[in-house]
Amino acid sequence: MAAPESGDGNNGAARMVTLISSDNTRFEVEAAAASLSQTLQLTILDGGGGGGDGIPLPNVDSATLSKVLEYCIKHAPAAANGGAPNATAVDRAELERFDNEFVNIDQSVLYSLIMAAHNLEIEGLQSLVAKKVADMIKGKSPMEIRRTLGFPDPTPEEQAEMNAHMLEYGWAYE
Amino acid sequence: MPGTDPFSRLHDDLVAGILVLLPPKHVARARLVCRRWHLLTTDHHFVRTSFTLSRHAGRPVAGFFHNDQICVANYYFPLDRDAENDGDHPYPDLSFIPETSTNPWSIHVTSSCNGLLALNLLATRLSQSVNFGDHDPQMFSCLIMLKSVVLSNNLVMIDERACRNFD
Repeated sequence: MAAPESGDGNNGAARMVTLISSDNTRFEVEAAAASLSQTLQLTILDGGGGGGDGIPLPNVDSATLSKVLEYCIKHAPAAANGGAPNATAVDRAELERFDNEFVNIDQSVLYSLIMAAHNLEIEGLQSLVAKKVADMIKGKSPMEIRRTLGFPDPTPEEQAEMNAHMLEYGWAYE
Repeated sequence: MPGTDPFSRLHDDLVAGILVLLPPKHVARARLVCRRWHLLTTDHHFVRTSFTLSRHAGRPVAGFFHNDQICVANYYFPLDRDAENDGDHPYPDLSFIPETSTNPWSIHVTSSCNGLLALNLLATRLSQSVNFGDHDPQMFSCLIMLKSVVLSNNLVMIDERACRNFD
């Protein structure tokens, strides 16, 4: 993706790695960004992903991977500063703005992202998306939740079960 | 039902990881959404994590009762391990509750808050050995501090009183 920039004086040009999505698209990305993934970090520390090899990611398609990398590239500088204790308020506000906009996407993409974040062990991304989905659920009635998430209408049997539980948890509806 | 909507592609751990972020009252609502969510949100580990998170969010919960459907037992789980050790939140003494048949744990704690418990007696055992007069006692509330047990015909009323503080 991004052209190699001359690094911030560490080792000259930043080290690049290649990731290969399930549909065989190759993504070139800075090792620092890819290392936000705990899973990839191990491979990269072992020297993998460089040159023509690339790291295959059979569980992540290219649409999801490009979205994941968008997140990683944005968050890599702050992560490199160890949670960014010296980040300015402006930097943090900018990241927050990015995050809010980042999860403002189609539901099925959200679910793909949360699975990819889980597989790749990108903690920040996983909790960001989980929080977004939780916010979609919060404050809604069970039927509204079902509709929001696109669940099929309950069968009469399920409806009866819901009504029975409704008695038990009636207080939750005040 | 699984397989028809995009959400059902998520495996249980991930769904639980989302639901556990909800405040307790919203978890109770989510419980009604479908059978899968009900199973996930009544799991012991889930309940513990959920209450622990809400502690950090400033909604203190000392502990919770977990009804084991299989051996019909109530277990009380204090959330604060330090408090458990120094005796601030010991296991509540429920011995004053009248026993039903030989098994004192045929009583289900359906909800609890601020020392007030709403209890549900298992009807089968009840009729054998406990005589509460002419009532058909299904529910009673009890105050742990006063060690008193009050019959109640009105579950909803108890629940409202007991659970309002969840918010």
